[in-house]
Amino acid sequence: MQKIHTIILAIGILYIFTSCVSDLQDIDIKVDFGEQEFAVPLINSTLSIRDALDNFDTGGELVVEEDNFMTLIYKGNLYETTGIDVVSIPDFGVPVIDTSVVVPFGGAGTEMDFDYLNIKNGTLKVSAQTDIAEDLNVTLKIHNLISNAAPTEVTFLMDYSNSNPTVADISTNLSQHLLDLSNKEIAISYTAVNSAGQRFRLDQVAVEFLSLEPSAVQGYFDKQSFAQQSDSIIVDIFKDVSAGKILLKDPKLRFIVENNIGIPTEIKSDLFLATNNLGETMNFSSALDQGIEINYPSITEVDEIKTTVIQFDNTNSNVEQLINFNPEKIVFDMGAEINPNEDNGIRGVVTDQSKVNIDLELEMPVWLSAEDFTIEETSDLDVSIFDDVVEAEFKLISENGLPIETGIQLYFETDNGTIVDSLFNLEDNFIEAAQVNATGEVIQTSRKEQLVMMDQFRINNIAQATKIRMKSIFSTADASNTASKFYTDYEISFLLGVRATIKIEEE
Amino acid sequence: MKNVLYIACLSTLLLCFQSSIMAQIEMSTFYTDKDVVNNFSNPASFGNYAVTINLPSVMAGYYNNSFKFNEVLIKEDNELTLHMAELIARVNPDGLNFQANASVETFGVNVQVGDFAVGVNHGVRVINQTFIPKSAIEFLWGGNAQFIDQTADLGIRENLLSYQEFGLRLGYRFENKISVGLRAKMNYGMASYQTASSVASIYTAPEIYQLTATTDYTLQVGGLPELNDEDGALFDFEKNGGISAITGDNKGLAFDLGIVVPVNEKITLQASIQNIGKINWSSDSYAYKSKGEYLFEGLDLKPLLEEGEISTEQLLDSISSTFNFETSRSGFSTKLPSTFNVGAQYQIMEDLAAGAFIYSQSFRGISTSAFGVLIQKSFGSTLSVGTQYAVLSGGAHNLGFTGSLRLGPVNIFVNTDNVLPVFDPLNTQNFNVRVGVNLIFGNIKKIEQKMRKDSKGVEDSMSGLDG
Repeated sequence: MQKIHTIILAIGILYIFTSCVSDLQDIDIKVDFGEQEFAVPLINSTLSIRDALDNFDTGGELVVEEDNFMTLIYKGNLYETTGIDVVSIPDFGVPVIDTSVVVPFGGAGTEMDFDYLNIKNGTLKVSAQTDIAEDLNVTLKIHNLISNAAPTEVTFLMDYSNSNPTVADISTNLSQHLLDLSNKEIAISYTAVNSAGQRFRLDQVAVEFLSLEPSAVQGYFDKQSFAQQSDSIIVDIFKDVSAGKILLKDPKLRFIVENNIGIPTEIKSDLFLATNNLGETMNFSSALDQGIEINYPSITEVDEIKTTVIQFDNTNSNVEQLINFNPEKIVFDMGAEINPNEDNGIRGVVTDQSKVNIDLELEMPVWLSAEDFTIEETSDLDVSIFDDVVEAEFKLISENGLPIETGIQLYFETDNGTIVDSLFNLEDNFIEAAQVNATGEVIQTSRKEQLVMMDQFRINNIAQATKIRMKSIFSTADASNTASKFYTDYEISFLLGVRATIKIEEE
Repeated sequence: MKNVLYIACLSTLLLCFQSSIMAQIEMSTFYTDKDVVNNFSNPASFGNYAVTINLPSVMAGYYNNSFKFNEVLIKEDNELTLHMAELIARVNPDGLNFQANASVETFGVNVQVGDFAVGVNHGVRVINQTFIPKSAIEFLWGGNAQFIDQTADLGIRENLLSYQEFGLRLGYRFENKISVGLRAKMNYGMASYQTASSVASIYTAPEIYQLTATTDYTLQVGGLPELNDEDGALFDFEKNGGISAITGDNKGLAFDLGIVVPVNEKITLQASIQNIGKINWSSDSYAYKSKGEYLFEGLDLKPLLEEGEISTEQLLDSISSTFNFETSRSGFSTKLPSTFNVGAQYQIMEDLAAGAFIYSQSFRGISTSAFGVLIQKSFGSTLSVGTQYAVLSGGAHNLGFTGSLRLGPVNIFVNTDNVLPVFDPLNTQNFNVRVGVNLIFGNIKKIEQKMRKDSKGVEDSMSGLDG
């Protein structure tokens, strides 16, 4: 009996075990997700001016001197024209009324006052007619049309066909021929011989020069203008300026003209002005609108290119005012004129390689003062990164080695441009300029540390934004009195970190 | 009784010298009915039966050093919510230790002849131990902002050991009834995954929160296929044959030693040391090592200027190289979780005994200690139950239970170090249970009584003859 009791007792214990454990069945376990707070560095960057200018699309070239002083040079091709365009050769003919003729041709006051004409392309047409009733072999020589160092000869057969008259029309390509007009005449002779060797004079002989294209012409060229060409140059560093000014010291505008038209030539601009991004314009005042003569090769320097550099600075133009107008674009019409003084005593040379090329160099030494110089740029913004952010505190440490005070603001905007929030209090967000000495060189960097708190209210505002507009304001130290020099080894450091509280939710 | 108190005081002092108590343990087999599985933990233990055949018994257990589940899990209707803030608050300042073990005794035979005992056994052990620094939990759950100008220790340690044990037990009882025992064990490693070095930390600087990550982290893996980090699979089973076969090249010897000292008829002292030995891993053994330091100070804007965008590839490459693990084939050895038991038992009445014990276990540098008192009651020869109260030095209080039901030669037993979770499963940070069956034959006492009776009968008959 005792055994039965103990067995019942044991079974009872086992029952309690199993029934208690079964209480845990069918229970779901979830986690009370809360918030996480992360502190991470975002930006840690030291940028020198060289880094920035090497990579920013200034459109210009940075020239660095040995002492790291910088000059920004914008270059652009203003103008190019081909000299041969001023030469036009009309078709002309020479009647050959006897077996040997010398016909005056060209000379002063005519449209063909040339000394030599190198023919690149063209046609010589010879026409002949006779009533002689037999075959004749004709050899026609143009004494001052030279090919391979010898006068040009044209040979053809007057083929009698039992009826009169007998006619011949012969065409010859004049490529690589030289027409020597230095004596202002054309000399032509011919022989017409039958099979017995008997000579005859033909009834009619005519020689025509058609569609002549010269590869080089020497002679007199009358005053003639090339068509003015319109173009513009974008000055990128000023294109996003929204307010304020940068005043540069001693900018220069250079025209570099390369010319191998062997004729007196001058360049000229009827229109040369600058426009800023407010739509304002300023004319460039210089001697350019009157025309400026350029160097040219003499007759003995046919293949040489003559370079002329015309520099405008604040002594001979208003270029300093023009650049300090902070133009985003320079607009111009540019042209050239040959023999502007109509000096008929000058014999010149033009080849099909002759051209006038004008390049512009806008030289801006980075020695400037800026006062509230403001640049703004708007970009699209994806605010989804703020989706789970409860609050965030940004910590910005800047160390400024530039002689320029910088204020940065980020505006969060909707599609229609409504500002829903901004990152900084702009008035408190200026990074002081580094201290400069009397010559504008940096002697002490400046450091600033600031905290920006973004609570849930502000984050909700930002969540409505679709665009972000960055506004940067720059002022040099003592802007009104001292221009600051910028050297490539000047640096500015940005260190940005964030402490952000993130909401964690079960997915 | 004075002796028991003395032992209890001594045990308490010893317990205080333990630096930390952190692992899941199995205490109850040490003092359970010696006809059940007592010799598992003390090879010097002699039972009451000449032959004991151990049929499969299973032990499974769980332990963490920091919290009871009902302290961090709040029940509402049929839903439990894990309150991480509460969990983190309760995690031991030294970190969270979590251990889950399983042990299967597949088969065993013990034979006692006179003062000799001999036995063989086979078992499978699985020990999993995880250590997570408190700062790692705080970092992963709450972010790094709470560690500004501090180094957060992320050195999580994971140790897994699985092996088979083939044991040969020898016991001898001296004339003075003191018995000693030895179990020699050939262990065959099945799988091992252990953290040999666990330096992994992140420092957050106060300036703009620059991050410095440092690692000196080594994982040793044996008996498992090479870890495959190329296509995302955990193991590359194609290169290796999989988990080692029943026996293989990963093996090692281990020993258990024990002693039982009957002080007098009432008091018995016993002590044992288990698992003195190691397993050498030479087959399919790999070391995965990461050592480096990476400083992330923020993104440099220069690439933005140069290329119009900032590529994260370089950043990711740097981070990846910092945390990159280099693989090498490398043999290693794993010390087994050695256990030390010492205890005393006082036989109050024939069917009632009380005792006290000290338990200590050490594995992978983590020690576990416990002190407990117990009481055992037999109800005839059919049912034996016992309970113990044990304190783990992490502060956990455990009320254990042992029970065995004997039906003829069939002995069904269940042991647990902590019975309270059975009634309130969430109110625990330590729970284990062993259940099993063994067969017992040849009650030595009865045999001896019979032999004595037979011997007395012979003597009586002899004296009758004499008379």
